[in-house]
Amino acid sequence: MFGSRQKARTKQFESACMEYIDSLYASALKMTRNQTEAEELVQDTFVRAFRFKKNFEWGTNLKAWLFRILTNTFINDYRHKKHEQRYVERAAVEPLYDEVLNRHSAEYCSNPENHVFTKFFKEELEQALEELPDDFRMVVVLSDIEGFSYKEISEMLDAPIGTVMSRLHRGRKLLQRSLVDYAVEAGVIPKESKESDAPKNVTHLRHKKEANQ
Amino acid sequence: MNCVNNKKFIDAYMDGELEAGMMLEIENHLGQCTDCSGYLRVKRDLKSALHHFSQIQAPDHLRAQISTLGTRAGRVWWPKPVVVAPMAAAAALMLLFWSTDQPGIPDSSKQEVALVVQDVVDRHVRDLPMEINDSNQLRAASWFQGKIDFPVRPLGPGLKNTTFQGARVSNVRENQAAQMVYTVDGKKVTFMVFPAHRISVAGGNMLTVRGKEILTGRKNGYNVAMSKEGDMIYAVSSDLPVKRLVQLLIDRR
Repeated sequence: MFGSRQKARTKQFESACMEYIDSLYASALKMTRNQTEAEELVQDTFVRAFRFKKNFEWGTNLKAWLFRILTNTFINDYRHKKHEQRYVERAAVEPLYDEVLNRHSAEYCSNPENHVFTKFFKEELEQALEELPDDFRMVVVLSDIEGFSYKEISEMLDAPIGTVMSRLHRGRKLLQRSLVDYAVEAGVIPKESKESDAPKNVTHLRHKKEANQ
Repeated sequence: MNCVNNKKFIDAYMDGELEAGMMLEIENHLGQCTDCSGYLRVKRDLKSALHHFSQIQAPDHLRAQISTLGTRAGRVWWPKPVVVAPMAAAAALMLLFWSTDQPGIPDSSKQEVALVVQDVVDRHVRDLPMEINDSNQLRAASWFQGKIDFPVRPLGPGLKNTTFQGARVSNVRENQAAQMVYTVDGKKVTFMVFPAHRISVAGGNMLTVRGKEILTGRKNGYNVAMSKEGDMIYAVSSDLPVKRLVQLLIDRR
């Protein structure tokens, strides 16, 4: 009797987990930037979730629990595999773009009809997201794609809420900059008459740093 | 509130993460500043565009693979070895290999073997840092106490051309595993110990060597040899020849 109840509960847990497979896969794809690795990451996540199901408390947020496993697995087992650790020094990122973005956004976004990112630049957005450093990309994915709160993201990443806010702010700024560049290239936003000396994106920043060395 | 302060908090404002007082203050500013309201619109547009990525669906084969993780629960299965008595007798003096694809083994079990082999190879290939770097493998084995739910027996001292490098806690399929890394004949060898519980392994190449049943597999250019003793599975993986891996399992103390 007890055994069958236990089995039913296990089945219920596994079915509940399966409801989030699409979300987990979508985020894994954005984190790993590779379909095979995304599939492995999701599979590893489910293996761990099923193995540690006793640690899950019914009535709490199952999706957040699964994403915590996903992000931890990505950080511990996948991110290290990248030969190139993509990161940008804090100080270098901090002053980027506000002024330039502001000018462009003030000009272009005065018209609320201009949803440039949703209308024209999905592929470019995908590419810009892939080019973000891992730490920034993770919080952008968890917040903007999956809709987790800062507190939930902070628990998943085991990082202070301030760090989450800061990474999200910087990640979005880098994305915006890349997309504004695309928009300018496409002629949607008029090109600035005076070129800014500020680095335009992460690649540009790296080139600048290399040139200065 | 000025524009600089507004921009500092505008992400949190957009995400609804600020306290009511601060939200109101920013709203007031946005009502008066076209620059900041345009800036916010860009951010909202971007957030909305990003949200479209949440509509991606997992591929069917991944869904199917994960479904089988659940259905495996409760099945504990290891194939009865095919024993060929005359060969077993001859093997008392030397290593003899006999290999076959087990007849009558369902495809699902063969796939499962492949997944276990893949896991073992994957742990071998991933160059994860060791949690204990102790040249004494017996001390390392005792380090696992309290970290995993089963006693760990290493390959054992005195094996030819074999040096212990370190150990870490790992997993194979759903089960915890002890991972120990050695250098054998100058090459890295990963030795995994994990419970057979909930792992259904059947249908690979079975060898009978000195009366021990050993299952072998190959993935991504790496060989794997596994033996089941009691409720535990012992697996070695390396790019060494499978014969050498089998010998390690046979000679294990």
